Amino acid sequence: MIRLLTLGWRDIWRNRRRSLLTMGAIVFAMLVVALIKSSNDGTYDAMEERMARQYTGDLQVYRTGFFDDRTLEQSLTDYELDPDTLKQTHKWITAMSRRLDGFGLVSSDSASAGALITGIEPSAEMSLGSYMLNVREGDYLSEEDSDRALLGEVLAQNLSVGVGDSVVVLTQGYHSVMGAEVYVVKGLIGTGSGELDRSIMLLTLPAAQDLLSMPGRYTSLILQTDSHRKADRRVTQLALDSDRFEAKSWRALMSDLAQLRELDSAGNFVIYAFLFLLIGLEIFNTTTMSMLERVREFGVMMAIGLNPGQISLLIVMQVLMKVLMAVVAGAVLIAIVTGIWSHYPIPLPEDVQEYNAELGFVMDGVYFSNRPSILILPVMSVLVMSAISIIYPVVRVRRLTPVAALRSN
Amino acid sequence: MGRTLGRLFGVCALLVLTCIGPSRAQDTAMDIIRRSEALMRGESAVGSYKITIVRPGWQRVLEFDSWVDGTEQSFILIRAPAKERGVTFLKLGREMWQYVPRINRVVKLPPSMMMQSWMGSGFTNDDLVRSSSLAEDYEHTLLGVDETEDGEVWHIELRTRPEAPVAWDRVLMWIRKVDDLPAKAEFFNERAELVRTMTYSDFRDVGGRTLPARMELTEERFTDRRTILEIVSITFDGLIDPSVFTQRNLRRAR
Repeated sequence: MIRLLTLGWRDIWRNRRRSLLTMGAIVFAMLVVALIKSSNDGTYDAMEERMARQYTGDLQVYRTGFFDDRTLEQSLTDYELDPDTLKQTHKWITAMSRRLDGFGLVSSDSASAGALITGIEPSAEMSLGSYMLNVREGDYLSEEDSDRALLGEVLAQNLSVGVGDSVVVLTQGYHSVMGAEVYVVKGLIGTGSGELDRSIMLLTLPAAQDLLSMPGRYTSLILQTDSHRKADRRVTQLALDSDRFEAKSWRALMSDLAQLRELDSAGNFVIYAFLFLLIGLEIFNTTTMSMLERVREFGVMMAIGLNPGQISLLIVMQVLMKVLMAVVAGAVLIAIVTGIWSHYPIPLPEDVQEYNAELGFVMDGVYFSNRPSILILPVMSVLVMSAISIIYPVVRVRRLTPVAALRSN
Repeated sequence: MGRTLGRLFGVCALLVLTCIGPSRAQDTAMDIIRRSEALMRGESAVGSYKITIVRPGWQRVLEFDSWVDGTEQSFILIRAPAKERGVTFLKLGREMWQYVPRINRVVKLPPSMMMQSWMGSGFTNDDLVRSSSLAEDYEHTLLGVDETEDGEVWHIELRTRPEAPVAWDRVLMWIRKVDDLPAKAEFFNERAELVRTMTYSDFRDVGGRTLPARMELTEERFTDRRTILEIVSITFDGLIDPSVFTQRNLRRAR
């Protein structure tokens, strides 16, 4: 056995150039696949994390039914679902904030526009790290602001108002009671999402509750957790009374993002398949060649007592060693390259970023993931491809008889 | 011979009679819709209405006065509840303004708000602004005569004329034969889906003519919601002071 290993090892270096070329090809293909996967995963991971942090929070809790039919009557109160108790029960909740989402008509002297009116708790929102903190002009809300508002910068532009100007809001609040109020614009926010910038208006929670005639009520509770990756599991862990409350993870809230990711990954599989087919052919080619060249040699070996099984084992070990060396080298290289690159995302040009924002995605660069999971695909594929490509040479060797082999050219 | 002639004459008379007879029933669907619309609208109308919004678990009642002149001008003043009292709406052509006394502002409703609910009811702002005519903007087909508990009704299909600026692709109406008043209307969108149904009832004398004093609107999308519009009083075809339909009146009306 050891002797076979030694033989195999020597065989590899007998045609040094060919072996190095094969190993180089394997390493290269692994690196390309890993980099595609790394950038894809990394970019989506970054996008998901950022969007979960800034827009949805990791989890949101609603009254059951609000998600499908956004009426203010389906709202929450602390009396029914106490956020503090929730936080004490579940240690993984790192931050939380109440929001009240309504709809209304915002007008200035010159123009009017429909707007999403969101009541927030300014300091709690700050602990979530949400987009609302992105004040481009003016100041962020403070808890006691009862007649001040933040506007999305595009909305403000459409209304031709700036910081210090006043806007009128008309709404239909709780039980369709009309709400009307005048607010002074305290600041303008840029959220990175075109749709939000066009439509968002922020008030303090008490101000929004007053406007919408629903003191003490809010529509959603935003939870930030220790890890946004575990959000789906956390939904079940919350163990809410499903007749009254429901929780949604950021994944469920941004299903179009998840779909986009799946679509992109599926598209990449075509490239992977192509690369690995090439690698498979390369391994097949070198293995078959080196076998055919040595038919006479094998004949001699059989004549001096080796059986076909041992000879095929020799071939297998030779390929295995070659591939393993390449895989180890590839994996190390991938780890180094993605490890370094994960600290240096490639920024996207402004116009591409704007285009993404228009589609509702926050993507400011290509990020590289260095999670170990990116190694699984290239390593597994190389191993599977080499296993497939040595079937033929092994079968050929097993059919050899010493006499025929010795006589062959 | 004389008998034969007599019989022949009789047959002829019968033929003539059967020809004349149906002529009243020969009303085109268009005629029926036109008569019905004239009855419901009048040239001008000043009225008081009550609107009840029924939602699961709660309901609310609004009272308002309205002035309507032709299809282009209308004015609405909310009388109750107290929180919304004094809110006014002015419609001129396809434009609409709202005044809110609490903040003393007049707001022009932008096109994007037109499909929003009016005062939380099943009606949209667009319903109030719309000046389309069931008679002029649709092509009509008489589908038949149905038998209901209130007597016979014409069943008429209205399809949008290609160039007409209307919200509905197709309307099915049931119009009472006895007084040309609508009994029911179903409104379909361009995907041929039923969107809303209006049911007319409480036919009685209001403002000098018989009208359905109660109209109930249901939406397919929200089966647990209803909007009921009741006519409290109404006067047709009186002269309305043109100053009613002005932006100044938004702030002045009481």
